[in-house]
Amino acid sequence: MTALLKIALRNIFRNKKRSLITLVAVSFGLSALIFLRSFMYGAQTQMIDNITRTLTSDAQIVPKALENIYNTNAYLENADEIREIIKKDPRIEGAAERVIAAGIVASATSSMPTYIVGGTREMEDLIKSKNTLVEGRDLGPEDEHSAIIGKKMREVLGVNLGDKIVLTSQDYYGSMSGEALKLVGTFETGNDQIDNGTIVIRMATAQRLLSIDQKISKFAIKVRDGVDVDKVVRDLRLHITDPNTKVLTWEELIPMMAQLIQFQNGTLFVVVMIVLVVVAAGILNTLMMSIIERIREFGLMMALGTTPGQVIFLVVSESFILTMLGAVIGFGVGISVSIYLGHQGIDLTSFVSTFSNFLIGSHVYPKIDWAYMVLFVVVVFISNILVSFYPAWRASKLVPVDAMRQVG
Amino acid sequence: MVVGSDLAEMSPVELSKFRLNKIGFVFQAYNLIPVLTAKENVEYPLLLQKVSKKELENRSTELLEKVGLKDHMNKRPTQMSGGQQQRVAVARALATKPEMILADEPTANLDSQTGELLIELFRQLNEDYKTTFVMASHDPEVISQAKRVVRLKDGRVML
Repeated sequence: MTALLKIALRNIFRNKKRSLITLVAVSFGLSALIFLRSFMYGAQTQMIDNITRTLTSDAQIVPKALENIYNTNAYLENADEIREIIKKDPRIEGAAERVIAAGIVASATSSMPTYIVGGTREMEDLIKSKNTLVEGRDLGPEDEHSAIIGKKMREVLGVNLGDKIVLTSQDYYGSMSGEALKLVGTFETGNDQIDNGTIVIRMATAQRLLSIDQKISKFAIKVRDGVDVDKVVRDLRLHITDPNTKVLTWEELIPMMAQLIQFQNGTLFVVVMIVLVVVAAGILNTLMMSIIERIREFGLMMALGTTPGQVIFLVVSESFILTMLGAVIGFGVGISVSIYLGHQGIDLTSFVSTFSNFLIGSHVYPKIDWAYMVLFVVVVFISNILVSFYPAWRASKLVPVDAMRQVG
Repeated sequence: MVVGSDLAEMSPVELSKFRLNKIGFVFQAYNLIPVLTAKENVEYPLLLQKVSKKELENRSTELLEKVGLKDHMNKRPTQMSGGQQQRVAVARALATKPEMILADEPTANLDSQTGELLIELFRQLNEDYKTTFVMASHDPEVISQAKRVVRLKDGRVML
C-alpha cells in the first residue's frame, strides 16, 4: 500500500497544471459552499434575533383570537393563572405583558391607522427586547400621557418630539375612546410596516384607553439561553388548559418567516447539489484523462503483479489526496472569508428596501454554522471518492497485454 | 500449463499473484514506472509481495549493483539512458526471484555493446539464480547465445 500511495502522490505532481485546476475546482467549490452557508446562517440568525427581540420574543401566550399576529383587541381572561405558571418555570428568563389593539393616530394635519402596543420598558427589558429608539427617550412610569411612534410615522404625521398626537380606538365595550398623548420619542426597526404603523404607549395608558381594567393581550416569553423553546412551549401547553388560550412559538406566530428560512435551506441544498456535481465532474475528468494517458503504465503494473483491487486503490488514492488538499485549502479560505466578513459585515444597503420586512438589516454578518461546515467537507469527500470509483474500475478491468500495446 | 499452473483456470487476482511470484518481465521499451526511481522500480514487485524492509533494501541494492547501476539508484527513468533503463528492468524482473523471465526483444533499443553486456548479464544470472530466460528476438547475437532456439514465422513454429 505504501508503494501505491507513493505512486499516487507522485502522479498528482506529474501533471501539475491539471492537478492545480482540480484543486482550484475542489477548493473553490467548498469555500463557496462554506461562505454561502455562513452568509445565509448569518442573515437567518439576524432575522430570528430581530424578530424575537423586536416582535415576538421566543414564544407568546395569547388568546385564541390573537393566534394570527395581525389580529388585535383580544384579551386573556386567565392572566393571573398564567402569571403563576410562568413564575414557577425556572427555564423562563422573563415574560413581558402587552396589550395589543388597533386604532387611529392623528396629528393636526394628518391621520393614519396604527397598531397600538401597550407595555412597559421595565418588562421588555426582562425579555431583552431590542431598544430601537432613535430620537427622544423611552417611556417611563410617569409617561401615562405620552407615546413613542415609528420614525416614518412621525414624518408622515408631520409632528416633532413634544407635539401632541391623538390616539383613538374601540374600547372593550365597543365604544370609541381617545387620548391626547405627547410624543416623546421615535423608534426605527428597519421594517417599514412597523416603523410606519405602530404606536407604543404605557400599559396603564392602553388599559385606560381600552377600558380593560387590568386585562392584558399577551405574554411574550424569553427562555434562558440553551433551553429548548419547543420543550418549554409543550410543557406550558400542558399546564394552560383553557382552550381559548394558546401558547405559540415565534415560528407559529410568524409562519412566513419560518417558511422563508426553510425555503432558504432548501435553496442551499439545490446549490450544494449543483456545486457537488461540478466538483465531482472535475475530479472525474481529471482521473479519466490521467487514466487514458497511463493505460500502458497500468498494464505494466498489472503485468508486474498489481491486482485489480490495488489498481482501484491507486486511482481512488489519487482522488483522495487531491480532494484532501482541495478540502484543506477550500475549508481554510471559506472559513477565513466568513470570519473576516462576519466581523466587517456585508453592506446590502442597496437591497434594504427589498428585504426590510424580513428584519435582516442593512448589513449581513456571516456566521459559521460548524455542523454544516463539517457536513460540506464530508459530502465533498464522499462524492469525490465515489465518483473516482468509475475510472478506477475501468483501470482495474484492463488486460495487461492489451493495455501495454497502447501507444503511450 | 506454465510453471506448473493452469492459467486458463485462474481468476484475474490469481493471475496477478502468479505473475508477481513466478514470472519476471523485460520489455522491449523498458517500461519502468516513470514516477519511481531506479531503486523504487526494483522494489515495487517486492513491496507487492510484502517483503520485509530489510530484505527489500538488501535485494534491490544487490541487484542494482549486479547490473552495474550502483551510482544510479536514485535516478528516475527519464534521467537514465536506454541501456541503464533496460538494466533496471532486468533487476526488477529478477527481484522476486521468479522461475521464469519473459524478455521481449530486450536488446532491440540498445546499441550493440550494451546489448552484448545485457545478454552476458542474463547468462550470468541464469547460472547464479537458475532462472529460465525466454526471449523473443531478431538479434543473431542474442539467438547465438541461447541454449534452445524456437523459430517462428508468421506466427507458426518452423521445424
